[in-house]
Amino acid sequence: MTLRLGRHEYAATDRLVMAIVNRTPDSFYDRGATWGIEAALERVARVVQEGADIIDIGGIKAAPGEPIDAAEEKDRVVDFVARVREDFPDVVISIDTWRAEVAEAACAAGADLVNDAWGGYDRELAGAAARAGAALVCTHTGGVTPRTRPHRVEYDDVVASAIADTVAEAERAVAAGVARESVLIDPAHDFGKNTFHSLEVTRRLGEMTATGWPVLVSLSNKDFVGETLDLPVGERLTGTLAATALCAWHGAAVYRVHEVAQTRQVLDLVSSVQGHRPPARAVRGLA
Amino acid sequence: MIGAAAVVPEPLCVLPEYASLADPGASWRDAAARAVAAVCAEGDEVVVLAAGTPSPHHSNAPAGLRVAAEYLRAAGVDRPVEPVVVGADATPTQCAALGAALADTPGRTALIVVADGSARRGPRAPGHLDERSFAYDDVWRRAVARGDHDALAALDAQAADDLLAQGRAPLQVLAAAAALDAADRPPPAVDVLAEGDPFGVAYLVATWTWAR
Repeated sequence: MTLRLGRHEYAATDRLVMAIVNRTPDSFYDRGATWGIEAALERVARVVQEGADIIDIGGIKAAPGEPIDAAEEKDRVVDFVARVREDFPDVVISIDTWRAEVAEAACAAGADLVNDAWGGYDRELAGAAARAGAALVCTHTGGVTPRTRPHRVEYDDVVASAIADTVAEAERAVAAGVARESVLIDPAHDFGKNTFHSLEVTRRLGEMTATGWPVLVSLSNKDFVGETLDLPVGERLTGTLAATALCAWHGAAVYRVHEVAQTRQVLDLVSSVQGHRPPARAVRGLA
Repeated sequence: MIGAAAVVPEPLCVLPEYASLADPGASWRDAAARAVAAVCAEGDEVVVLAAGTPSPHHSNAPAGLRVAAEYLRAAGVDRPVEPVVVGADATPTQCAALGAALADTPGRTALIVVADGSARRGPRAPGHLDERSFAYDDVWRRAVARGDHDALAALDAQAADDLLAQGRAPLQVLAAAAALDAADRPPPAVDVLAEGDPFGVAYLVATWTWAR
């Protein structure tokens, strides 16, 4: 057992799909598609059916935009978490927030995992996860303020920085009371990083997985894919899946995605190539 | 004294270490190379002035110095240059002192000023949209286009900081350098080679040249 989320335990070779469900009117990819409660619940049902292990519920888009205070963020996510908990008792629920106050309320409503995309910006967050008995994602952003974009950021060694920061945050979370087997680290593609940084993090992801902490990657339709292939949002799935395969090969545990079915196929294929998963039905030459 | 000065932007995408298959900064590299070539031809020595921001993440030379080196390479200028870094958060008073010192030379110095404007000029800009960008950028770009060093000296440091306008301090150093001999000679001839905000950041390529 290397990872525990809620009441589920996972082996080191398991590859988990975390489906993005935005309770926002303005996120870059879905542009408010799940802003309505019914549409959001429909998406949860669909992604669970497609094989999602984790539902990641967020109330604020990552990019700069309309300021959303903690009260408004809670309005968007807490009741929804409770509803998903009720309708899907087996699925792992993740709350995508950087705010301790929001995490606390969401965990009380049934969230199992606190996905902090902003690198521990709120120093109370790990304590809130600990008190709730929740898992925590520790992310590398280079110390930026939430909802800012990188501007001329440079690193001597982006991977070394990502490892140093996320491992330090992970140890800090454990010291704050989060269960060691419930802490993940995330290099945070595109957060505090230009495209070259995100490509290097992908290329050298094995150095992060070698730390022994389970690694979460969030690649889905991001700008580093778009800039690498010169493709707009909406045409980045193939590139996303290629990066997904590479991260899987390097041993990342959790994949935060928009497209669940396609990601599941890629992860299953990589797992089979690695010898961790038998083929679904192999009869060729075997009759 | 300053014989000529070039104002050039700081897009990191012109650097070879950040090269893409396409060359998104090509037109800016080309324009800046023409500007630095022109001012280097007017100077006995070349000073490159860029903003510096301390970072806990890397020990690279300030990006502005590296960008300027790329412009000089593209221009085929192979001369020794003196790098000068001004803190991006230097006060206008500190900038004025540095500018006066830079201009206090017996010969004609060619000054390459790596400076640009707000990085908050649209929803896809590095700093998203801040409507104050347009007024701020109008002021400094018009000042450069008119050879108006007083207007550059008066730039609002707080506004620049708010707008991620990292070029404010170097522009104020330029203002002071230009002011030092302003009473003794006619204003410079100005050439604006390029202007725009292709990535949500305000760029300008221009030269100031004082008659010999």
